[in-house]
This record gives sequence, C-alpha cells and structure tokens, in this order.
Amino acid sequence: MREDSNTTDDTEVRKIRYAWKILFYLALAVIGVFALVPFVWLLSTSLKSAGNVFRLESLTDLIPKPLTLSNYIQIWKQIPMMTRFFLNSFIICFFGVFFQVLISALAGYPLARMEFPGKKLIMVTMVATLLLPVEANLVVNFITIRAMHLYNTYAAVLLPGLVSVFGIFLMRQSFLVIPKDLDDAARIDGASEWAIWRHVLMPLCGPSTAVLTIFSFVAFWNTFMWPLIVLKNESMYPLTVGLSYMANMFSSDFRLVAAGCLLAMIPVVILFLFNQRYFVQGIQGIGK
Amino acid sequence: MKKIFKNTLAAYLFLLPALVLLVVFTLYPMIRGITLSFYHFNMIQTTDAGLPAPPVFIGLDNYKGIFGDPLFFMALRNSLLYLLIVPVIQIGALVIAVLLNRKAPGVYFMRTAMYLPVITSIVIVGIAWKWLFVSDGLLNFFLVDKLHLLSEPVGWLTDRRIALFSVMLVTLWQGLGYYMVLYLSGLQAISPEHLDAAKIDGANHFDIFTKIMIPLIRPTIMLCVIISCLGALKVFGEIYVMTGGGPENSTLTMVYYIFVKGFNDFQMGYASALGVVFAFILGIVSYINFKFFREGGLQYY
Amino acid sequence: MFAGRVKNFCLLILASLLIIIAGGCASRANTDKIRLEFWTISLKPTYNDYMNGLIGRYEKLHPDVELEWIDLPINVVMQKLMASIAGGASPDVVNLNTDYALILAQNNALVSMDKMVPADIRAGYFENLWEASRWKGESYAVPWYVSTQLIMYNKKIFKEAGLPEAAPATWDEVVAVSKAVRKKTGFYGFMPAVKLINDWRMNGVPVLDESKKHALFDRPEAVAYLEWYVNLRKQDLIPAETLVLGYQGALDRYQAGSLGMLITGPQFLLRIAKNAPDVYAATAVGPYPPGRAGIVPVATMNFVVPRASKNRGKAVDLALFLTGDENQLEFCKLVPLLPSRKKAASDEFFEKGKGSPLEDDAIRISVKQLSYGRDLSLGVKDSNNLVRILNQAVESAFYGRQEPAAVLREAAKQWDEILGGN
Repeated sequence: MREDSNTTDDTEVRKIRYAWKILFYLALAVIGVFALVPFVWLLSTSLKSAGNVFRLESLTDLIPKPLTLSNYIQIWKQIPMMTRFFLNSFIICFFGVFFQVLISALAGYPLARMEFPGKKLIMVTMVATLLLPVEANLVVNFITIRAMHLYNTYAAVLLPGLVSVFGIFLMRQSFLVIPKDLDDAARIDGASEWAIWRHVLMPLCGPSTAVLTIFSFVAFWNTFMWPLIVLKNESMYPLTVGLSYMANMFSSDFRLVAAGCLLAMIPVVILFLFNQRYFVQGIQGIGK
Repeated sequence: MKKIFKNTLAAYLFLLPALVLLVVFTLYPMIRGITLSFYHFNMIQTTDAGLPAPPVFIGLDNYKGIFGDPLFFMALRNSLLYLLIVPVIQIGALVIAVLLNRKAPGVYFMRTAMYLPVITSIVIVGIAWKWLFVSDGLLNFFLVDKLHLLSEPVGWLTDRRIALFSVMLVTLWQGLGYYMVLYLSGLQAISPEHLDAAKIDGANHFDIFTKIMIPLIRPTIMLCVIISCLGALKVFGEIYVMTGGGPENSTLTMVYYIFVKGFNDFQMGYASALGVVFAFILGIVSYINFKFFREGGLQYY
Repeated sequence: MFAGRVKNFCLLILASLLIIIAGGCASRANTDKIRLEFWTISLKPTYNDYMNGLIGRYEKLHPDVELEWIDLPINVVMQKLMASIAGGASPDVVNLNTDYALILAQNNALVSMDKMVPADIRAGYFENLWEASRWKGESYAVPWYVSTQLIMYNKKIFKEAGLPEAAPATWDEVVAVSKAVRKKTGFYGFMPAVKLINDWRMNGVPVLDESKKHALFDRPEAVAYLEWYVNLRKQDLIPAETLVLGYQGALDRYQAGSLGMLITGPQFLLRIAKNAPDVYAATAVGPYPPGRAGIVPVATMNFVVPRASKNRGKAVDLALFLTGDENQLEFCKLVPLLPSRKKAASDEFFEKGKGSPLEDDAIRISVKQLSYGRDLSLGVKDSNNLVRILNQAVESAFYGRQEPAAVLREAAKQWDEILGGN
C-alpha cells in the first residue's frame, strides 16, 4: 500500500488485512448458512433412494446413503410430458422477458429524460397501480382475455404480466444517472429520439437491463395460478404446473418433489450466473 | 410549438405499449374493483337461467362494515407491523452487496447462494421453512440442544407473539438476495475512479461507504425502500403457504384477508372495499417515503 | 429515422402475432358434437389410463358427445371455477368436496340432483352420502369416492412404550396410549385434526337448534369437547403445532416415525409407503372409535353440475356415469378408497382385497365403517365464516389465553348474529 513503509509496518498491515479477511469470510459463512439451509435439506432429500425423508436425528441423516440420481430420472418416467413443460416455460419466459424488458426500457426513457404534458399524471397513475393488490384482478382479467378470444393461448398467459411498473421505474432510474451531455451531443448531431435511445443510452443501461432480465425471468418462470386459469390444454402448461403433477390426490413422493424443484431452479441459476458477469463487469469502463 | 408537439408525440410513442397494457390489464380491473366496492357481489351466485347474478348496489354499506370489522383492524395492525422488516432487509442487503462487490474467491458463489431463495417457488419455501420451524424441528434442535442458546423450544409458528416474526424471517430470507442484486447493480455503476480518488485522500472503508457509495446509489435505495415497503404491506405468499393467518389471526395480513373474503367467502364487493381502504393506507406510506427521500436531498425526483 | 422506428414496431407486432398463433394452434376442432367439460382434482398423470378409459367408454356410448377432461391442483379449483362462471365459460361437471358443494349450492350455483336424477338411480347411492349435500331440502351433488378415517399406528413405537399391538378402541384409550407413548418414548401419541363440529355431531351434542338460527354449543356438554383438547395440550400430550399445521403436520410427523398414531383415511397409506417405507412396514391399522351417537365422520368427493352449464341434462348423465358401480369399483382397485354406491361397496373385492395385507385391512375396516359413517358438514349458510369464528375461539382456548367456556359463549353469540337468531 504505502511505498515508504518499512518491514515491521508491512507485517502489521498484513496482519490487519489478514484479520479483515477472516472477518469477511466469517460473515460470508454465516450469511451463506442462513441462505442455504433449506436447500441442503432439499438436495439431500432429492438424492436419497430409500428410507425416511422426514427423519432427522443427527446431521449425518442429511447425507444420502446410498446416493442416487434415480429420482431425477424418475421424474421423466412418471411425467412423460416434463420435456414439453420445460419447453413451454422457456417459450413463456423468452417472450415474457423480451417484451417486459423492451416495454420497460421504452417507457422509462421519456419518463426520465423528456418533458411533456401528462408526464406527472402517468407517473402518479403508475405508482397508484402498485397500491391495489393484484390478486383481485384475476377474475376481471380472465373475462378480458376471453373477450379478446385469447383463452387457451400463450398470449393469455403473457399479456397481463408484460408491463411491470417496477421494471419501468428501474429503467427510468438507470436513464436518470446517465449524464445529459451525452444525448445533447447526439441531438446536435441530428440524431432522432429513437436513435438516441437505441444507440446512445441503451448500451449504457447494461446493469439495469441485466437485473430486470433476471427478475422478470424469475417472475414468468414461477407463475402458477394464472396459467392454470387461462389455459386448458395440458400440452401448454408451464413447468410449475407440471411440478404439481408430482403430488396427486392420494400420494406424493417427497424425493421426487425435491428433485423436481431443484431441477426447475437450474435454468434460473444459469441465467443468473451468466447475467451476473454481465451486470458486474459490463459496466466497467463506461464511466470513463 | 411544433417542437413541443413533436417531442410529446415521441414521448407517447415510447410509452404506448406500456400504457395500453397497463390500462387494459391493471387499470381497468382496478376501476372495476373500485366500483364493485359499492356493490354486494357474490361471484359464484347464479340466476335460475344459469347466468352470473348481477351485483346489487348497496352504497357505502361495505365501507361501514369495514370499520366495524375487528378482523380488518387486526389485519391492518399486522400489515403495518410487517413494515419492521424493511430496514432489516434493506440494511442487510446493502451490507451484503458491499461485501460481495469485490473480486475475491468465493464471491461469485456467495452471490448465487444469496440469490437461490429468490428463485425458489413459494410452495417449496413453505414446505422447507415449516419443516425448520416445527417445535422439535431443526431450528429448535440447534438453538436448544446444540448451542444451548435457549432453555426451551420456541413455538415459531404456534406462539401468537412470535408467529408473525417467524414469517418475517422467511421474507427476510427471500428478500436479501433480491435487493442485494439491485444494490450490486447500483454499486457497479459507481466509477472506480471515484473510489480510487477517495482512497488516495486517505478515506477509510467506513467513510467510503457512508460518504461516497450511499449518496451515489441513493436512487437505488429509494426504489428499493419503496418497493420493499409495498412488498411488506402486501405480503401474501408466505402467509398463504405457512400459517393461513393463524394462530389466533396473529399473522392475518391485509392482502391475505382480502383474498379470504374474495375467494373463500366470495364476497367480492366487500373484498374490493377492503382493497380500496388499504390502497389509501399504502398511498399514505408511499407518500411519506417520497417525501422523506426528497427532503433527504434527492435532486433527481 | 422514421423508417427505423416503423421497422421496429413492425417487428414487435410480428412477434406478438407469432406468440398468439403459437398458442392458437391448439384451438378447437370443428365438430357438431356436444362438448362437455369436466374437472377433476389432482388425478393427472397417475390415473390417466383409468380416466381415459372412462372417457373412451362414455364417448362410445354417446357418439354425439365429446368430453374434455381438465385436471386441476386442489388450491386452484375454486378460483378457476369462479372466474369461469363469471366469465361465462362454466365447466359442465366439477369434482368438489362436500363443503364447497354446499357453499355453491347455497349461492344457487348448482343444479339440484334430487330434481335431475330419477329416484331409482338415487336409491343406488348410500343415503347418508347423498344427503350430505342437502340444502333447503334438496341434494346438489352426486357422491363419488369416499373414505372413512382409521387409526394407523406405529408398532415399533407401541412396542417401545410397552403397549400391546392393538389400536385403541375408545377415545379414552387413545389418551391412555398417548400418555404411555409420550412418557416412554418422548414422541407424541397422536396429533388430531381439531374439528369441534365433527366431535359434537359424532357424539350427539347439538350444534344448532331446530330452526338453525341459534348456536347451542355454549352448553357445558359441548364445552367439554373443547376442554378435552385443551387438557391434552396442557398435559403436553399433543404438540403445540396441532392447530397450525393440522393434517399435513400430523402426516409429516408420522412419516418421520415420531408420532404414535395417525388418524386418517386409508388412501394415505400410499403416501406413507413412498416417503417412509420403514414406517409403512411398522404400521398397522384399527377402526376409528365412534362417538356416543355411534357414528364416524366420512369425507366425500362429489361431482356437481353448475347451473351455468349449457348442457345440464347431459352433464348430470356424465356425473352418473363417472360414479357408476363398475367405474367406481375399478377406481377403488387402484386406490384404497370406498365407493359411494351400495352395489359397488358390496363387491367381494372389499372383503378379499388385492393381496397387500395392510391396505386390505384398511379397506376392510373402512368399508364396514361406511354403514355408520356420516358426512358431518353443517349445511348452513355462511359456514366459512362460522367455522372461522369457531376456529379462532378454539385457538384462544388451546393456547391457554382464555377459558373454553368463555370463548365458546362468545363464539355462540357471534354465530347467533350471523344466523339471524337472537
């Protein structure tokens, strides 16, 4: 750190650093345990082949013996439609995320960087929609979907969730912190608003876009009640509904349920890992 | 003049898709809900011909009913109490984000670990935490038998003084990762030069955190606090899968109560009226939030 | 600049169209057949073969009808039904439990089965089950499969507690067994699903007066049943979670091998066998001790026909087909359950069994209980609300905050207000 430090100082600094490091990892360990405990149980259950999944007399009961992947294979045996459910979820998420991010980014721009009549009213209305519980919208939206002849389509699953006020505000906020001179310069060069949005500002909103992508992916991936209400063809059900097939009226194998849940989380984890690189590293250098 | 018009047109073109969807799928059902709050409306009631029975106008009766309904006040109290979770989640998430906003071994893993609870479906959250919370479950096993922190098992979900806080713990568990991601993205937007300059000036970690990072990510903090307040007041999923409002209504929250009235008792009119009253309260809380942040010197808003 | 914007908007619209079309592919085939939509609860995909067999047979018998089977998780059924009825897209036949069937009937949403089903066919169903969905003198549901409860017990725990290998025959014995189990093993003996209305009705304690306008459960004879639970809790003979985790909690505990007895229907043996084979191996079953009125509770699954159905007659016909003797019998051979029809129940299968000793025992006992079983649903309006008030009272007493007599007096007062008595 300091160039003029002598050797004793150096070891002192090193010791302090070392202590900080231990403290840092101790903190991480505590937080990590808190976050992961339920998953340890799920993972252990999903890898057990026989025996009691509910008993825990000592911690060693958490270690599956014998360890097996058969539950993961069994899912496909019991629910042959599983691949189809995965595919449906991907279709729903792909379009859902694409449009939600696009719509949010489009709407966030004028709300952040333009002055026009009605702006305040729109913002207040948007906030107001956050105040009423959405659970109550279900029946009315069902009637609307039927009136639009969209019953039993993917569009019906998607449409009510496409606009997210949170997403709009997230994008607006990321437009706000970009220095004004950037688009003023582009405007002097004769660029249109569209071109400014598309080519000047959007490339700078990487982190927010990445965050919104993963938030909206999670939301569409986990949607459960609404698809069941607007779909009737089994072949269109998303994965969450498929997972409910693992527990029928009379029996449910908890090992399969646990395996299914973990399996369903994998795509989101992958997306998160991929996106995390992007929103953590993509921004560096932009501030320059 | 022409420029203003052109500008306005452009703004509305950008807003068009969002506005259309918002009006059709959010605003319209809400306005329907507000009008229904003046009606007696039972959604499953059918006429002899097999058609849905029309709502009956009853003026302010639903609202009068609310102010004489002890469960309403119970639910309101619990929902407001739930706000206690907001500072805990926000400070926790911010601290974790700062801790994880660096290059060190294990950081990537930890970020993912923190995010796992966010992506877990609420049904599984319920199963797993109920399993941890039972009186002879893992949590008591550790606190009483292993660590000897407590002398007797805690009734996490059975003691009416504790149940709401137990549910809050689950909200905390899920929320930390969610807000951590938002804060991380905010922290990443701070240019490294800013921090380097401060380091050269001899600022310590704490100063950097309070004097540089916090002011710079203020917009993110405000967004998170508002979202988190609304989320806490509107908590539903955790209650639905874990306690169903019990014991003794100690975890009955507003949205859960609205859900019960609307979908279990089929009293859509009354449920709508509850929603309207509750929206007013949410409005007040959000207004206070805005005001607080604006007076705290937030020039952007 | 303009061109670019137009291009992008076109792209957006094109993509939207694409998803709509992608979904629309699955749209209806054009036939002149009558389409009947029927809903079941959580049977897919395990019972696909059975259900598709039924559908095939029905369509063969009725070439003018096309069936559409939709299977839903239990927690979505009512929401979807509400939305569908309000949206003018009602299903024709719906699988519901008696409580929900009654609520729908009270809201004039269901077709009266007494009116629609000829007396000779009605007579084929157990009267007590047919009458369970009675509202204002008419029944609104066709009973399908039923189950009576049993006592399952863990032989290993019984042995450890020094108990003989036999299920307790009376409720006093249940308590005695629980004491022994708790003392010797540290486990709880049982974890009841507290339903006071059932307890009262089982024991002939009146809940309401003749006019159904006054609650009578503030009398000492009724209070005694709440006191029974409160005392069990005071002596720590049942876990504190009893009221919160209820039925599922008891099942989990039993599956973990840390509950002496489980009071449940025979169909749950399947679940225990899968999740806890060791516990299943140690399980034996005994009958459910009847109350003083000599009856035991029965849980019924029914088929109902919403008034909003466009083909009520055909729909009722379908409900009768689905619950027909042979079809029920076939189902009972797949799941340890009981049929709602007398002829099916008298089949030798229920005596002989299918070769799985535990399940056969369970079924044998269960089918015997059917003759003195009753669906104990109360059958009054606003019953959700009433039950909620009662449950709250039970909680206050259970956790020792108030005296049982006091909470029931207060609850009875609230019931009276709702029921319209004074």
